[in-house]
Amino acid sequence: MFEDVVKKVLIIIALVMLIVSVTGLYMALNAVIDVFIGYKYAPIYKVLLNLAILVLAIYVLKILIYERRDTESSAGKE
Amino acid sequence: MREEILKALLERNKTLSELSKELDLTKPSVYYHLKRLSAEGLVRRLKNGNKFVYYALTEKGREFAKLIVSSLISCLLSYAIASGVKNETPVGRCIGYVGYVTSSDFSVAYILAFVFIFITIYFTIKLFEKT
Repeated sequence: MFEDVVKKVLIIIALVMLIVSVTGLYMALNAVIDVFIGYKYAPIYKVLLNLAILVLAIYVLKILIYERRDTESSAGKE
Repeated sequence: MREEILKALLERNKTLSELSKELDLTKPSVYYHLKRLSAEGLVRRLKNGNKFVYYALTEKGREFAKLIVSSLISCLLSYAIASGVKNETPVGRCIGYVGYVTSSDFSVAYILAFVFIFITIYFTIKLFEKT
């Protein structure tokens, strides 16, 4: 019982750390673009960055959905 | 040349004749490269009853071909974008105004563009592949 609670708390802490680090990374990348690319062309790089994140997110979602569908269909067979 | 063979096989399975015609190479030369690729576990022979022998990518070969295609396209596109942004090269000077830039500026612009474009292309190919 106590072990389960500790596990859940650790998972929540890890998730919060993940969100913080991903947000920090995203903001740092935007700062790098602003500093190195300059005002005029920064939007082009920001478009590329956001496009890459969008495609990556869709890919991860696709994998998760297929995985879920597969487990549901295999459970249905049983 | 082996990269070209992998790219050609990424479209569909092909025979030796089709590959040699498409790549403008002699059959023995294509056969030699196919043997080397086969030894690496990237390509396999398919016999489907008739007299034709088809060559197909293995799972490892398919993954490798996707990486190569994404890298090549990303290299070209990021070079065009970085040179346009930083006017470091003749291409850039044609596209934008001429100004002083350091090579580190150009490198950062190139690397950033490469990473973003590579991720976009690679995962787009993976998204649209048949599952």
